[in-house]
Parts: sequence; structure tokens; C-alpha cells
Amino acid sequence: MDGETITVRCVCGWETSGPEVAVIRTTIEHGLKLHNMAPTRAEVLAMAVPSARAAGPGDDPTLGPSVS
Amino acid sequence: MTHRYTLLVGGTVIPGGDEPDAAAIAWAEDTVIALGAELDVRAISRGDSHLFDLGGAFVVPIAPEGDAKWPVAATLEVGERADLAVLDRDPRMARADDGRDPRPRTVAIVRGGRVLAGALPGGSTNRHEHDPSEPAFDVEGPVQAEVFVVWLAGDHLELTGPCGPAPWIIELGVTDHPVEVVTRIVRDAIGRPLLVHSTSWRRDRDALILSFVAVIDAALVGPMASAPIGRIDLARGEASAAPRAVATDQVVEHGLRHLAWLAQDDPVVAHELPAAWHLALAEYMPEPFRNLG
Repeated sequence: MDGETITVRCVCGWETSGPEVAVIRTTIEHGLKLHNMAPTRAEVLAMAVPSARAAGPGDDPTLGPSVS
Repeated sequence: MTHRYTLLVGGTVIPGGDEPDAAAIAWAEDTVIALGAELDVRAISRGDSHLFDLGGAFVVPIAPEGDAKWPVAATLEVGERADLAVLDRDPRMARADDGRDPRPRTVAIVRGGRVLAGALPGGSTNRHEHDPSEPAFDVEGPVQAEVFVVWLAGDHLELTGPCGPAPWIIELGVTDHPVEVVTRIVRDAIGRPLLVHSTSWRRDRDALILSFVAVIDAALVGPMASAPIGRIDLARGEASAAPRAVATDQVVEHGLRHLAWLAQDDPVVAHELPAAWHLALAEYMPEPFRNLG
């Protein structure tokens, strides 16, 4: 997924979008802080989807509920 | 999701780039998950982590393959691969004028989170070699805490939390003390709770679920989403069997009944809960801790 913006959604409703490096780091920090678990790079990328798809048709990604 | 974190503390981590030195680093499988002050990195330990005391040794990034040289363009950062070398002294201070070999001695080489040469100091070799028969994900039957953060909104109780009114799931290591972990994480994420109490347990989601009620002051709610708590009948089991299905609302209902029981039975709980809480809990039928499923 290099070069594209990706999105990761946690089951708790938390969501983050951005470049791969930032999303991996933010997701690890979220996991440790709120769920006492740390996903690896591979696990974060397995959960990630391209941000355009995550926003859904008709959604404005700039108005999304990102809480990163 | 691996629970096998490796923590190196008590040394100097030179992350590279323009980043300042750190005192500790941790990784899970091949990924750096924490880098910073020793207390901060120790705080992520789940009890089943592998902890190594660097004893003043230095940690530097190395390239993911090839000769282990430093300095390199690679950096040690959260989310990046754990490719690093442990050196017996500061490579930035390597000078020959003290009569010693100017090159630091390599204590261990770690690539992708695995010790490929040498040994991590302060503990066993602990190579973390991958056994092909070992699954990549933990299937040991995880224990999870399901936390319901409750506050008094005027005259009624509401659910809130970092996940809003939804259950807040926290994984627990096999040797973690559940109450200590839940209290620490609630405190770090929200603020000091008035009370944290485990109210029931059940098996669900392929895990053992310990339900907790965390009582917080209204001042801590801030921007977190919140929703009033409704009343619902409890899930009831048979004489020797748990209920077949338990809804989240029923877990909350039982949690508050348990809290109502503690408010009457436990002097500490009775003291910690403000008077208005006692009034709010009065409408809940007291009930002790039990298995919900």
C-alpha cells in the first residue's frame, strides 16, 4: 500500500487515516494505550483499507470521524 | 496478535535521524512498538513480556540485511522493523586515545525482532526463533476485560469511555492482575477513576471476559460520547448452566446491581461513592458477582 492513504478502523469505533507509516505508528499507539495490545506492522496493514474505499460512496473523507 | 513483547531497558537507544536518545525500546514480533523513557516502555509490559536490562549498553539501528554497520540511514521508530544492534559502549564516542579498541563490541544483533547473533544482555538468550509449528497469532485463550465506564449525569447514570458508550475491550496478559491493568489504563486514558470493580465473568468471543464497572467523576467525561443507561431484565441461567446468550445491556444491568450490592456491603465502596451515587443505585436490586455465561 506504499504511497496511498490508508484507513484503519478499530472495533471500538476509533479510526485513523493517512500515509502507511503514520497509520501503523498511530494504530500501535492506540492499541497499547486503550486496549493493552500492540499490533505488528503486518497486522495493521491486514486491517487497513484504501481511504477512498473506507470513506464510502458520497462521503467526504475530509469530514470523516477520524480521531487519530 | 502476539503478546510476546521484548523490552530492553536501562541503556541508551540511539534512534537515528534527528531523534533524541531514549532509555528503552520494545518490540512485538518484527515491529517496534515503544521507544522512550524507561517508565513509559515498562508500562506496556503485559507480565508475559521478556524484559532485558541493558546495563548501560547502547542500541543502534542497523539495515534489515547485509553487514551490521552503524551509522545507517535506517531509524528506530514505533511501527518500523526491529532491526538493531546492542553495543557495549557509545559508538559516537569511539576514539582510540584511551588506549582501548575504539570500536564498540557488538553484544547482539536483532533483525525483524529476532536475535540472530550474540545474546541480549541481562537475561537468557531468548532468541524468539520462529517455530514453524507455532501460530503467528496467540490462540492460548486470551483473557479480556470489558470495561463499562459509568458516570452520574445529574440524576441518572450514563455510559461513556474512549469507545463512547460501547464496551471498552482491554486485553490481559496471562500473568497480569486484571484490576491493576484496568485501573492503570482507565487512569491513563481518562483520568483517575473513583472506583474500578469486576462485576461478572463469562465466556464469549473465544475468550474469558471479565466485566468491569469503572466509575468516573462527571468532570472527566469531556468530549467522550455518552448515552443514558436503560433498564433491562437480567439473563438468567439454569441451576447448573449459564445463560445461553447475554446482551451487553444485561451485563451493564448486572454490573450496576453488583455495584448497588457493594455500596451496601463494602465499606470502601460505600465511602468512595458520593451520596448522589447511592441514590442513583438505590433503584438497582443488589446482586453479588456471578458468572453470566
